[in-house]
Amino acid sequence: MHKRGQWRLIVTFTVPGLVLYTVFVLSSFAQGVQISFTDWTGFTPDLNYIGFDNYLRLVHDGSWWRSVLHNGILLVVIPVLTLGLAMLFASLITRGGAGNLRATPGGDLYRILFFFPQVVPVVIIGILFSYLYASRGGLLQGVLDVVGLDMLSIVPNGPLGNPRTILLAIAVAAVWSSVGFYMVLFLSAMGRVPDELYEAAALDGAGRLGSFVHVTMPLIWAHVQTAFIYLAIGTIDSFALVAVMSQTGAAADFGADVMSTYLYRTAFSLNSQFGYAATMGTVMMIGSVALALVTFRLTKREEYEY
Amino acid sequence: MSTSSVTTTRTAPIPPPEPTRRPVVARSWASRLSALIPQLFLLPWALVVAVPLVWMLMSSLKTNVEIYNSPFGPPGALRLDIYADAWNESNVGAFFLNTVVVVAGGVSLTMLLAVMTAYVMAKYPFRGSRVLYYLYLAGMTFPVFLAIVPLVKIVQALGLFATPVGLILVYAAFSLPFSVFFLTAFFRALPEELSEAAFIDGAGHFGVFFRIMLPLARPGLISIAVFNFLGQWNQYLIPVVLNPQQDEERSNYVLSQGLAALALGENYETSPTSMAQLFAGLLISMVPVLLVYILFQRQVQAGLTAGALK
Repeated sequence: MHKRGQWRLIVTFTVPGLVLYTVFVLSSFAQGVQISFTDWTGFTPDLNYIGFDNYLRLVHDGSWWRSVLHNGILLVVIPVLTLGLAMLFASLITRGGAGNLRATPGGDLYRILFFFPQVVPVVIIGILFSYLYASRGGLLQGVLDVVGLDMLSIVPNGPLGNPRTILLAIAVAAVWSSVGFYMVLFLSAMGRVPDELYEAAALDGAGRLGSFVHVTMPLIWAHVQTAFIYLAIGTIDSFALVAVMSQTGAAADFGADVMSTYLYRTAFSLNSQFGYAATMGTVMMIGSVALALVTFRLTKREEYEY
Repeated sequence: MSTSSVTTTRTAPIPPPEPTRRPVVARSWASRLSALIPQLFLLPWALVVAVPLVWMLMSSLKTNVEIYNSPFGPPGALRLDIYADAWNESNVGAFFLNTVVVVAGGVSLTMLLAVMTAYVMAKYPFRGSRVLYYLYLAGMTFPVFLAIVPLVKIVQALGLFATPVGLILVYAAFSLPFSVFFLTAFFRALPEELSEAAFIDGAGHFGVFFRIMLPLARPGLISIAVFNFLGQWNQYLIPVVLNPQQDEERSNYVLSQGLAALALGENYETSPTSMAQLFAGLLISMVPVLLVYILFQRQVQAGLTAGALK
């Protein structure tokens, strides 16, 4: 009905955004796939199309598979710890106390404090944790001093200097920063579960654990599922934390290389192998999309209307 | 279970059932004890979150020697000059101002473009708006690492390499997809009646947008602006790749780059308070984030969690 003049608005409003987005995002994605089939170094204009050579090389690249494995480990460790703790704290805050329906004292303060690390820039978290783990003057060693332990005798070279522990040490920093975020997510989901369901469960004799397993979990399962996908994709994309904590940015693999840091080094410090790095980027893209689809199918459960 | 004991004695209006009937004193004692169980888990995590932050604050006032010898001890004196040194000598001041320029520009441009695109996608379903939808969806699904290699060449070709304008444009371009989707949902949820009335009163399409819809969308705009502010203040990969060191003082760096460079030991032990200067730098860079968090508590949590539920 108000058709007249609407095209002027549609064009004025969508074209500037679309131009910017096409130039920097869409064309980058498209060229990323294109460059993955070349031997381009980035320094010279000449490049040759070499078919699937980069992909074949990637399949036989041990360093790549180590990075994939590390991503895989983080992919399991970080979501399990983060979501487990987040779920525990969320259920303790909403359904704390003796009864099922009483809120835990201090719940709002906990919510504000626990969430805060999520807004702290990742680079700062990485630097902070590097110093927490430091053998000289670090907070962790300070805590161990109280009980008379020497960190270096437990973990030679310290958590970040030891290839056996560095991944876990990085995962701890990641979990520290995001537990509060997912707790808030679960709290808002739990807040939407009607109280009558808990009353009914209590009438049926369900205790706190019972009503959690039979009422809370099934009703907020969709949120757990999205949280898992979100975290998993975030883990694949994780760069800043690993780069800062393992100093991978410039030098070599200290035991914590993930796909993104290996890609970065391949492109920007190991003889600038742009073509090969673009191949990794393309594989990561396929991986992220596949992961989202698989997780979605695996965690698909019957959803309840309420 | 507990219902059986109730039904034997009473019929009609049933009072709220008591799960167990024990003497009053014992019950309140037991319930008080079990009320402590949540605190048993929540309090330790509160410490785990708070202690590193407080430790960072304390260490920012100590000399290197004090940090090494007593990591828990309070600083020997209130050395606020460390903050001045961090700002000037460690060049945190320059990093901070660069970040302010880039993030202010990036967020403004993101908001301007996203709100216009979202409004059209929500209120003017035209032929081709489906295409627009899928294009922006791709940007939200694909990892930025696929784009990072060609991005260097594109930004170089435009003459924007290692410039604030280059960073602003790239930040805005990569922030667009999520902002567009968030705001589209927001505009869709707004009532139609007001704009209908305005159209009947003879307002044009632009008039309706600026005078009716934009003010109505304020809460959504604030949420997404806060979200983008935090994300762009946080950005590390894009500046590392597109904004490399240009001079000895790294005066073109943004905060995340500058602090990482300081931490990676290139400035290590250059002064007796070099570690404190780094910690001071970390805290300085957290001030704007902390302010936004305190001022926009609700929007931060709403905006960020909406991101997870997209």
